[in-house]
Amino acid sequence: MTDRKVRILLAKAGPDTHVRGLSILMSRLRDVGMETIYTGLYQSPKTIVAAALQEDVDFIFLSSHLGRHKALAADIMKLLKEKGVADRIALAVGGVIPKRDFAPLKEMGVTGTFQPHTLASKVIDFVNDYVTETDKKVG
Amino acid sequence: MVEETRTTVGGIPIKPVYTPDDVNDVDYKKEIGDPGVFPFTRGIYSGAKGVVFGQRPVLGFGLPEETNERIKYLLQYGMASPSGMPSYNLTMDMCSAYGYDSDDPRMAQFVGVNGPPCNSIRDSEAILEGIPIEGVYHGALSYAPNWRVAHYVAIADNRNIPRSNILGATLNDSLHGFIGEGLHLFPPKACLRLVVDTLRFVIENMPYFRACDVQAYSSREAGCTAAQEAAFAVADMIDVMQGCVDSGLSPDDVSPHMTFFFACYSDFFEEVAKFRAVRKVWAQVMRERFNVKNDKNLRMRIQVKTSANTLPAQYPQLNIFRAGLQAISAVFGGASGLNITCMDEAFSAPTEESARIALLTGKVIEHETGIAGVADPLAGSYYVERLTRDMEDAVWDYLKKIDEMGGYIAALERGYLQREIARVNVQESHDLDSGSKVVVGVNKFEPEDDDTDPIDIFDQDPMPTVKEMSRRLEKLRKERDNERVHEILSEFREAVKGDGYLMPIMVDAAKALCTTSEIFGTLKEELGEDHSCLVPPDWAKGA
Repeated sequence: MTDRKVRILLAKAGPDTHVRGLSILMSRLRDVGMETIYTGLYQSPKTIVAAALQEDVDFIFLSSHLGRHKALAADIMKLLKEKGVADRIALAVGGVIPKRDFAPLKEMGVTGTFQPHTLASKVIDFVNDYVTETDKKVG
Repeated sequence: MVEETRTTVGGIPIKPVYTPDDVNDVDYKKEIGDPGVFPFTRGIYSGAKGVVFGQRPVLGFGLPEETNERIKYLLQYGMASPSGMPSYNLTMDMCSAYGYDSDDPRMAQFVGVNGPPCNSIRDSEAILEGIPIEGVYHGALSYAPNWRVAHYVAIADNRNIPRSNILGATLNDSLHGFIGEGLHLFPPKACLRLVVDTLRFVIENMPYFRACDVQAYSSREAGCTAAQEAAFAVADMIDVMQGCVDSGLSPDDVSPHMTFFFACYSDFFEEVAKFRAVRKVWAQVMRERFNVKNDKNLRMRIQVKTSANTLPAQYPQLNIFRAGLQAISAVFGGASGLNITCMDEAFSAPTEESARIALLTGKVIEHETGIAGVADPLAGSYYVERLTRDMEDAVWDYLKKIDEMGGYIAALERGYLQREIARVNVQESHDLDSGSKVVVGVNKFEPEDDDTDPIDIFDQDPMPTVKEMSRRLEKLRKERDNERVHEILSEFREAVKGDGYLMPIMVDAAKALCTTSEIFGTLKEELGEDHSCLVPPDWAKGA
């Protein structure tokens, strides 16, 4: 468990309005002391990355239910690299995502992939482990 | 100390055994009644008529032509409406649903995903290629403004087919989007106006077209309990009916157009009780509150699609069984029509194979089990009758609360409905973590982790669709009479501003090849937009 406040941007892109998962996560992440910021609907990779920078978050959680996660993640990662923050802001993707896309997403630099019905506790553990690990590296 | 009581999934207390004592207060004649008789607890037909199985999966993807092929493929396997007519249930891509044309750069990743794009009447014509207007029941899953319905009418007009010969249904229930999957565009009161506008048009022009299908399914999938699903659907339709009455329509004319689209989840008897209870509540509301005269118009017609949210990615083949069980409880509950959800819901849009299995699952129930041969076969069960009454009480409790707030729209505006759903969702998430609720494969008997998908998955690249649709749009804008388009859009804008009658102008706009974003854009500019649907979690804590 990490001591500092982790900041997470919860993001939706395009016309995808399935927000049940995000709304549950928002509540559960806050309950364990993390800070969450929600982008609102109809965002694009550009506006998501801009919000991530402005809010100085540790994580972007992209929620995707229309099958476009690979293209969206690729665009977000590209923008994070362009802004020079890819090592500081991590991207995780959750929603309707087949396992066959896990490897390509990891290759792009996506740190976590979550299918529907993932227990909230697993997501919380993932964030804590990741942040502890990164903080160790940074020193 | 917390006393441990067993409850249904939705929280209604249950006992280990039921006896005649549990139904002492339930009078058969008065409160249950025979099938086909008020208050319709036992079903809206006097016999076992009316259950049609798994025959209209929601479909659509890629180019209009690809969707057209999928429709024709499934028609071969007996895809039909509750009345047995050849039928399809079409959903558009989310870009069209939200009123964007395919060449809008913000939508590039989503064109033709989860439905075909529909930029103009030309796309509707391509979707319907080889499928006649007459003799087919057209399930067009669109919300108000009913641009899709305008397309059907325009196509019928162009082919000299009387409008009254168009059979089918549209959703037209924009008010449920606020508590469902978020599919709504305008502020609630503007949504109500558009819903009523469509109802008026359909009543005047298309008597056999169902113009209001309450999307209780979407709110259930967003997290509602069974009782909330039932209550919020009725509350929504009370506001819509009142809106119709306020604009001069008669409840007896409106009621036949209202159908209810419910989900069916896995708590077998709770779902049966939900369907039985909500039919009764509806009949009472229509009779007592709106003074509906004709008994026929007191009947709640229920369409069911089995749940998608209950079909996890783990062990997807198990989902065939889950969906089948849910379908059986919907049959016991007296659903008029039933769509069975495909097993690969957690992965992608369905493959042709999974869509076929879902369709045939219904056929197995229909032809092999014999459960549909007798109306309401669970009636008289001490448990089912008790649970039906408890469910009914729960629904009335919600309706009373919502009434006190000033109705469905008022409850929406103050966030009450959204908060209620968020509360259930967050609680369920805790229950899954603690293990007090079990979903096989999710938090118990989990499969070993590996990187392969257990079934074939539908795949699709939208980029060729975007390119092709953009090309067609460019062509359309060149070929059409742009002066006429401009004229109609101005007329439309004035009508929107001035509280005018919109559907007839939308039919003209469809004929003049106006595009989706031109119609929706005008509405967004004049009515304002409302994107609220995610509720801050603090609300769930009862702020």
